[in-house]
Amino acid sequence: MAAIKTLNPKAEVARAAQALSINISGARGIQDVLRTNLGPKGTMKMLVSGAGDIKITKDGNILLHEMQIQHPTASMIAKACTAQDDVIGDGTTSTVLLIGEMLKQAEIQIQDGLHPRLIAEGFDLAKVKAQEVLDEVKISEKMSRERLCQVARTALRTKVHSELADKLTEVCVDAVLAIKEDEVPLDLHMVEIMDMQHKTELDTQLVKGLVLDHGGRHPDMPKRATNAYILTCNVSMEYEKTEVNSGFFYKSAEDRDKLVAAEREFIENRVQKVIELKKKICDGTNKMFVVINQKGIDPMSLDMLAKEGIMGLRRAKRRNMERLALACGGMAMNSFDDLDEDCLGYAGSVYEHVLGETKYTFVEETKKPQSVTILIKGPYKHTLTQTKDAIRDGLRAIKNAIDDAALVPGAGAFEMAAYDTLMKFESEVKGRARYGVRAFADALLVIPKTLASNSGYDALDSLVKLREELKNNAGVPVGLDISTGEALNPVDAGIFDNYCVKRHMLDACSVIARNLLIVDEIMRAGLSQLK
Amino acid sequence: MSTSNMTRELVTIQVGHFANFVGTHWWNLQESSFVYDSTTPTDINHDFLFRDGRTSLRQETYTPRVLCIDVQGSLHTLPALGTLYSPLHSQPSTSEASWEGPIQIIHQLTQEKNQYLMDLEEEEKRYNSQPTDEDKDICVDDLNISTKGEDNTTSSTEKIYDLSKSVRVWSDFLRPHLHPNSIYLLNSLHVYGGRGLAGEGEGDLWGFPSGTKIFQREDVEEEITDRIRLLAESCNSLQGFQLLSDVHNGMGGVSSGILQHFADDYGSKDTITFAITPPHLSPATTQTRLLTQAAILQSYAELSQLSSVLVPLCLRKSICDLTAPVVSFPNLLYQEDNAYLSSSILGAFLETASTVYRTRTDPLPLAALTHLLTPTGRKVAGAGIVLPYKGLNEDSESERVECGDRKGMCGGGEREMWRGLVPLSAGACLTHNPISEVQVVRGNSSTKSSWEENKSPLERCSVRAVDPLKTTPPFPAIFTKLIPTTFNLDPSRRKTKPVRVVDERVRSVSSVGVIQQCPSLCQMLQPALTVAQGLDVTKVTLLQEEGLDKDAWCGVVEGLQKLLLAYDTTSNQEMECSDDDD
Ligand SMILES: Nc1ncnc2c1ncn2[C@@H]1O[C@H](COP(=O)(O)OP(=O)(O)O)[C@@H](O)[C@H]1O
Ligand SMILES: [Mg+2]
Repeated sequence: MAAIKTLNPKAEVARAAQALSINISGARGIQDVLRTNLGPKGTMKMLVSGAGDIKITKDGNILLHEMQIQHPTASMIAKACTAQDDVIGDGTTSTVLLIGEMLKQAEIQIQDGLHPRLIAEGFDLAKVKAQEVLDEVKISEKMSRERLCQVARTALRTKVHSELADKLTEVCVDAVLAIKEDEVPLDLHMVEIMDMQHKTELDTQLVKGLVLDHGGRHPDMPKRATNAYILTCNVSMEYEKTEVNSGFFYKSAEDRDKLVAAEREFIENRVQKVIELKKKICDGTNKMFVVINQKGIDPMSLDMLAKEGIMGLRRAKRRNMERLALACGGMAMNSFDDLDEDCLGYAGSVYEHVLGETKYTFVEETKKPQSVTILIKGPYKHTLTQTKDAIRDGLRAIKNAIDDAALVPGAGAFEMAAYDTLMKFESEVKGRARYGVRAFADALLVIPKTLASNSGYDALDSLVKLREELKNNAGVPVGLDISTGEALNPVDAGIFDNYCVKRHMLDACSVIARNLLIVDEIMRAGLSQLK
Repeated sequence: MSTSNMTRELVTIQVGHFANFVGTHWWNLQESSFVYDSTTPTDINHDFLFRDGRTSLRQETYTPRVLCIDVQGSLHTLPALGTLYSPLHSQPSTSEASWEGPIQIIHQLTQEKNQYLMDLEEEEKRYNSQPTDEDKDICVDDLNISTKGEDNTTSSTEKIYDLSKSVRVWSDFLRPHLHPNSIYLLNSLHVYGGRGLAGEGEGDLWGFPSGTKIFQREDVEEEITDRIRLLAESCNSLQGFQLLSDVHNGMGGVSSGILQHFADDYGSKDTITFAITPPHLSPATTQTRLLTQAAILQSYAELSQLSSVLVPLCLRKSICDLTAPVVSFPNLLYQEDNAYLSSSILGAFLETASTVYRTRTDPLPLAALTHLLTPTGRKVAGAGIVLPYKGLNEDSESERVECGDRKGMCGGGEREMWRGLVPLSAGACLTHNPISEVQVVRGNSSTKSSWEENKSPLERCSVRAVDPLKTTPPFPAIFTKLIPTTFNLDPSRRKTKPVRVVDERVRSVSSVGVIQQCPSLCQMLQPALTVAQGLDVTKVTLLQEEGLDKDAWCGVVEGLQKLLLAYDTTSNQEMECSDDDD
């Protein structure tokens, strides 16, 4: 590289120009792929792998890498989107479209002789301004159930059909409200998501309590317990290696059997402690006893428990220990030494449901339903995954709304407002960076335009209508009505996006577009990437 | 129930593409050694590594207790869920997508199945269409097919294939069905992140730290640990884990995350780790070579600490010199750059050696095995194999003694066995008189072997199982035979000389597998420490991008030092064997 530079500076410039055009064409390429995805009328994609695996999605981020687009620019954008997806969980299609459009607009300016660096400068100015607009249009208020439903429904209707979206909206909002405590940061981990390949996606439901994907491993164990004490623990109830090292190399069969017997007795004593407690507090009452253990329970221990009518589950998820304590009360025990009634939780109903080789155990009617489970159903693995992805997005939209304590009017309203402001701002910008501001403003329109064309309307017609409405009603948010192609007020229609999603979109776009434009950096990055 | 003969399950985790090649051969060998009739003698209890299950259609299943971890796009024709529990429905229909708007079906490149897989599929169809009696075992039973089928179709185990050219990924020769939870594919974007999406051959361009980071992603960790939990839940008396891990790329980092999880959640269980390096690595640039070497070194440092015992499986005679010569086998022919062939030898080793803890009577507990092999904290043990094993009395054909005893220190029988024993742990020489070892002989019925003598059970555990290794397809034809060949067409000067060629008709062989703690491991590990000490990570851009700083690397060097400290180099000098063949 350096050698070429000293010999022929023009070669470097030529290379830079070439790299830039690769970047622009790359970004536009993925934009073309993802354009049809945007919004509730976008095209759902069903990816069928060479081996027949099916993935149903219209999520920009997933598509970017499932489709294995072999282009360095694509992978750079995809990486940024993954980061956005990890943090925020939404908005990746919009981000990709915006980046593509920003580069498209930039290309026009570059062809007119403008240096990419100036455009990038303009982008930065425009981004700051757009963020101001975002703060102006956002609606800050304490989130009511109604508002949470609206933002969840908006997100979910871009993922699954409206009937299911409405069903999942209720499920997600109820789940979050069940676990939400005032003044405590919301922890979505307390919403367990479990799936069952069974029935249809509309049978997806919220269980106030826990659903575990395992059950008793003993034929005589009760399959159902009512009015039950719950012991959650992390104590081995199985035969382990004997700790005495020399024990392994027993001199005789009797020696070995002695060691085994000693170990066995040790475990039996443990199990006996549980049984004693059960006898003490349950015998003579109508109460039952359930043990949910994070460690193993071997057949002999299961047998002892079963004989006492105790339901015993082994190898529970670590996180379910926490959830169980939350839902049922009591505490997760690490030893049985000081076991008493105070350690136990309570559930009104515990029962098993068998599906194929999998047993599910439902723990319901708990003391405080502060840990809940969303039980997803559907006929195929890929439909379960589609519903699960949607629920994740719905839950995150709700959490974002609560954390932001704000919402942004959707349906392209923010982008229209920002466009309007930037066009006025352009004239205030000195020098040629203003073309960058202009390019940014024009690029923002890709969102309402794409929403319109995906809904079967002429993008420019709709745009004219929206701008007209904006002029006539200053200060009122103007978005696109996807069922008519006309303008609508998204606040009245209950269409809301997350504030943090839009904010992140602005950040990501300007950073990535800048990187793609300033080719020196790209070439360096590109070279190490391409090796 | 007698405790000594009870089934004590092990869960296997295979991490990385080559590790899965090795694992695939191993499961294939296991499945082909299933015995379906009561007259064939067998010493193996398959329940240790396989689990009973049933599909939603109430079909009984018997599948490996395994989790295979690889990167998206590495399965070609096998759906990640397998086809046992969810038979492929021929045409995906748009009605399955919960969507009112437009739906587009995008068919990604379909992959052609190779002849073997097609035949296997045919056999299964034929088997499934047979009227089922109470024996609803879905495993394709070759006896069944070859005898019942009146038509002249040949079963896949009878046919001769040359899969060495058509196999590209491990699922191309996988015989058993896997449980739908058994394959977990890492998202290729997380793996290759900023380096561009992976093309052919780019699969190794990620280092140990990347692997660690990927495992730390919440979705990845949750998915992997949950699948392990489900495997563990189905065990009645889990004794531990077998971890087969690639160590030359980020998979080492993934494995270290898994081992850490074992320590946290399965503290009382043991793990035997097989640290695997494929012999075909040839990094294109110095940078990528250093990335690979750093991954290997860091894997050894970290995995050895977190495992009960670590056994290197590396056909080259050095763990980090990627250009070191490969070991040669007196009776085998294989191309070192062919993953399908080279992995078959390691698979045969695992099948043989693992017999020690899964025999029907008196299996050695994994805890006892790891205790035996790691005296005074020596965490790394060496592997070796005799393949094929011709028995004590037969004339050994081997012309070359790879290493081992050359001074005639042992009795006749033992010496015979030692001839032909090829080291599989980066050339670390095995000895007839190790500090401790396990030995397994498979498929050789000679009653008494001389080499079991004069060792206390504290130092040696030896096991023999009547079951030979069934080397029918998909096991490759790597065994050789000598055939007299005539050279020179001029009749007066015609000479006949035996020439070694591949014998395609070897249906089963005997074998010996050895894992031992021996002095030469120190010589094997020492150069690794030297390389680690000489590496300045701040000068390697790729390692910088991985976020590997000087401090982290010091940790690796310390880890290796600690590992070596247990191998007291001042003693046992006389056991040293020369390894200077180039
Ligand atoms: N009912 C609706 N009418 C109009 N626009 C909508 C509606 N619901 C969502 N949108 C808009 O669709 C866009 C989000 O589409 P989506 O497919 O989820 O892509 P992304 O990956 O960018 O989130 C947002 O701009 C949002 O305001
Ligand atoms: Mg969205």
